Amino acid sequence: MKNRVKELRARYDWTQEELARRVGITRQTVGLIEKGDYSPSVLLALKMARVFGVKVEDVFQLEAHEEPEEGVGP
Amino acid sequence: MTLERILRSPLVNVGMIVLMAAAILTLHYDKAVPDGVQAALIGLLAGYVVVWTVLVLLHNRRNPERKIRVVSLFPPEFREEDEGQQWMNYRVTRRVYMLYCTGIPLSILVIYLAADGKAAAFICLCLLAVIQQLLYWWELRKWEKG
Repeated sequence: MKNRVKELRARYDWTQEELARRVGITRQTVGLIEKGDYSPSVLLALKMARVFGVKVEDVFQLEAHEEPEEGVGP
Repeated sequence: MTLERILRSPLVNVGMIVLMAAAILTLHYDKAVPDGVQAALIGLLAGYVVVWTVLVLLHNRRNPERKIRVVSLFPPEFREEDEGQQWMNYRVTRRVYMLYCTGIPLSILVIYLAADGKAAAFICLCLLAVIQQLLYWWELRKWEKG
């Protein structure tokens, strides 16, 4: 899963500590998510989207190989 | 925070295990050990435990919201403050599981083959415990660097 956490954080000029404080996690977990080493839970992904004021899919997107084979969505 | 990091460090546990191993081995090989070494090691071990306990009590007094339990089944180094740490714990417990999958059968073989089974069992268990702590410390270090 790819994400735009670092980009969105830069847009607001927040440090990792600032984002971590707003979401209620540790700075290290923000670092793991930004590097793509850790995919957050749905709850945390929603919280992150909320603090950035965007939809969750604007922050987190599936990689091409992770796309489901069949679906009714776009 | 720095004191808490030290008190919760797996390396503190490694120090305790190594001291305990050395002290017990001197008891086991009593006659081969020079005078004073046994008492010195037991004293060091007791001192280590006392200093750790006093520092934990001091930390708990200064930080009542982040207490470390002196006696608990929950290891002090184990941290689960958020899901990132839980994920780190998942990774390290997976590695520890793999360590035991190999380490325990290997230890059984070593204990069976060793001339002094009691000492071999003790050394194998201490080695497994030290490796387990070092694995946790390594993952924790990587996680802390973010």
